[in-house]
Amino acid sequence: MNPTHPPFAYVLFFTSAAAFRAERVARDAGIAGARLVPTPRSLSSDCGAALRLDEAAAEAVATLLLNAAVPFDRIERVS
Amino acid sequence: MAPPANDKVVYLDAAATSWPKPPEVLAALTRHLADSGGNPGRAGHRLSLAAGRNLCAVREGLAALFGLKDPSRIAFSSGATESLNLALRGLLRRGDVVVADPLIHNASARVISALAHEGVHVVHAPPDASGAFDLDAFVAALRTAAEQCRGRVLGLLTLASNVSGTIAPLGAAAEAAREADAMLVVDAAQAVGHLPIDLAEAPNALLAFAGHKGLLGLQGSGGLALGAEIDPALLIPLRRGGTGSRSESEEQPDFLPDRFEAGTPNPPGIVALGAGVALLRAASLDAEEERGAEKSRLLIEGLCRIGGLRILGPGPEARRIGLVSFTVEGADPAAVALALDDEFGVLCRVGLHCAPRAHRALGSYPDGAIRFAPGRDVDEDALHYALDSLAQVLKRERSR
Repeated sequence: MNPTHPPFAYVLFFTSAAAFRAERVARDAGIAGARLVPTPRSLSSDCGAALRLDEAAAEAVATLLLNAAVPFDRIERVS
Repeated sequence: MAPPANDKVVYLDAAATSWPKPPEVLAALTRHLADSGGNPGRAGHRLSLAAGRNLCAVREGLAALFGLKDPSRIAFSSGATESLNLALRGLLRRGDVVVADPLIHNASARVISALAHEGVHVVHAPPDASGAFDLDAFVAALRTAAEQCRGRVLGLLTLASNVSGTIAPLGAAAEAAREADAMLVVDAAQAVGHLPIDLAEAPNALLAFAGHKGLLGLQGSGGLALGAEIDPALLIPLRRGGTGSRSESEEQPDFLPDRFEAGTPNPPGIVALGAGVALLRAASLDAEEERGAEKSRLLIEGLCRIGGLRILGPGPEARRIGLVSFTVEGADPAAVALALDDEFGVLCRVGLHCAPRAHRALGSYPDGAIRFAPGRDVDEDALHYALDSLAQVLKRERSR
């Protein structure tokens, strides 16, 4: 499913280099709907791109990124 | 041998740049420009994201090529020269010492020469009797520097010489640097793509590479790979500017790779070298090294048969990339090179190859030498043709 409605989770990064790696890791793991989008202005971030997810996938993606040593700032949930 | 057809070309100048580019590289470049032409990391629209994905894949491919676990330790640049400037200028300050090997190219020689004017102490380790890198002399120079210097000590290693083609021992040089509590800056412009390079055996190294030579990409591309033990905070950026990250701040980000990647990158160049990396990894770097070594052996044997030539550096037993330089007796090297091009379509490079110090070490300064550096597509028959062509030209030139 490609989520087009909230609730979303946004993975925030320091650098776009990590954002692109994160997207590939999420997609390789079959995380449906994981997509890079411009970081919403309400979410202060160092990087202009954020990985948007179905909120339910947030925990799994966090684990995936930690295991793959992809650095990220934090994960924000937006209703 | 009959003169060549007009379109006959035997390309022996691959050390200057690769040619022709493989179809895989051209296809990737065309695909990128057509489908992913946005500016990576600068927007969230599909073309920007597509370009960013392409760069991400190249960074990961390069990290795998160099045995690095963290792809962010690859910083793209305009090539080996910029990367060497970043590494040397970024690390060395007044009172520090750099110990350079004897085969350095002007890409690093001119940087450390300028640094010497700024109070950095430059030590040139001597070559061995054949003019090749001498590990014992390098170790001794590093040890002396460590004992006498209160500042930072840095080793500078040319991994493969652009004049002699000889390959230096990366792991042993890195270990020597470690014993001197030093980092090792590696000029890998001529080595990358021609032999396996594993930074796991040199985690204290900073490796500068070009994208358009052994990696088969475009001019104006390359990068700096930071070994796992290198603290990026020690390295002062060469450039500062926009990165697409931390935009609210006027300070350069301290995280990788943005710390060293200010300004718009060169996506076409990066994508092209990435296609080259994929091709080479699929072909195996061990096999690439063996092919290069075999070409050098064939050239050395053929040049020895011609006679009146002096091969620069050690004999055929030495570990070499596919590159051999030689001096000629009784003929002007420039005239020989011109005749090889005009009459036989054999393209080579003559002169000092931007490496006067290497030519001094090899005993060919100031006259320089003729360099044969066969491209990846140059096969055994083409090398025999080049050697026969050289023999004909020399015979005529020497009879004048």
